[in-house]
Amino acid sequence: MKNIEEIIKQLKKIGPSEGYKAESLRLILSAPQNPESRLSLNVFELFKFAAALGLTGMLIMISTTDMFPGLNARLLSPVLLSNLDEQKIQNEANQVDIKITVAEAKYYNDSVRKVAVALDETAKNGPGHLNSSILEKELQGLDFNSQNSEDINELLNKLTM
Amino acid sequence: MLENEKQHIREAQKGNEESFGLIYRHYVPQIYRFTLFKVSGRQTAEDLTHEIFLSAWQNIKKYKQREFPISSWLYQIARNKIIDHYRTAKKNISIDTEDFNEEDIGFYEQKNLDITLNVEKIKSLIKLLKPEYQDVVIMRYIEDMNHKEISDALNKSEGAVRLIQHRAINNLKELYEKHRGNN
Repeated sequence: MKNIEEIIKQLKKIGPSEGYKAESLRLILSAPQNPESRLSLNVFELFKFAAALGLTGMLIMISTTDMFPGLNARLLSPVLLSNLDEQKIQNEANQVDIKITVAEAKYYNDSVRKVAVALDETAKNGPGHLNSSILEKELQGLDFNSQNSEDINELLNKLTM
Repeated sequence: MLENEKQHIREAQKGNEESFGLIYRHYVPQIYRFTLFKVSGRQTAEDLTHEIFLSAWQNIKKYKQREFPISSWLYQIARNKIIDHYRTAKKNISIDTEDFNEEDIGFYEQKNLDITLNVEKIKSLIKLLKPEYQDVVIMRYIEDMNHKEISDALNKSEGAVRLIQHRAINNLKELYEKHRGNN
């Protein structure tokens, strides 16, 4: 069998007659052309833009107003928008303040004791004996309610004034 | 591809008849052949080819130029017209080889060509292929279009076109052998 592709290629020789081509072209060119349909494209683009704008506006309305109580800002973005709740911020601020005060009081209380121990040690053995772990141990053995402690405190107060 | 095709298309889009005439004369043979292999008879092929180019002329302002020749667009119009033709006429695709008789061949200005019996057989056997196989065989082997152009015209990937081509040729060979066996 002759190569089938070669046989097919011979079909390329088929074509319409010159008479047909001339007559057909004449009739085609006598017909008017359709205008370019830019309008439909523009209308579509305009619609897309308007829809996007409308949806964005609606989202902002939902987020910032109580138009839809079931679909408010907390539901849409509970993490991000919770910071916008003024009452909550106030409460948080108050709580933070209290925490700081308590932490400071505890710090001062502890530090007074440590300073007392340190000064006591310094008076006895000099400033070289300020190892924090030793101080901690000795702190536990001290009696702050003894008369000596009161005397020391009074003495220290006079020194620092 | 027609020389200075893009320029001619731009001119035709402005309504330049001469430019469209050049495009028409360059592409009408291949669109005609494509149509002829898809429908029954010369007269129908001529009518459809006329409609295809009429549609191209009327809608060329909507055509957007790409890297491919305008033939891809013309083939798309042709395929739609052929589908419409069968839908309207509700015809069954005839596989009768009488559709391509000697009289028709003479009219195709092939008087001086050596039309062998093999060619006639192949021509009738192509019509037995599935429509998409026909498209690829015609475009690839008769019109020498590359795979990229065919894929653009048929809205398929290049890989799919290669696969269809492979299957179509195998199918055609089987049909050819079967036809020879019957004779």
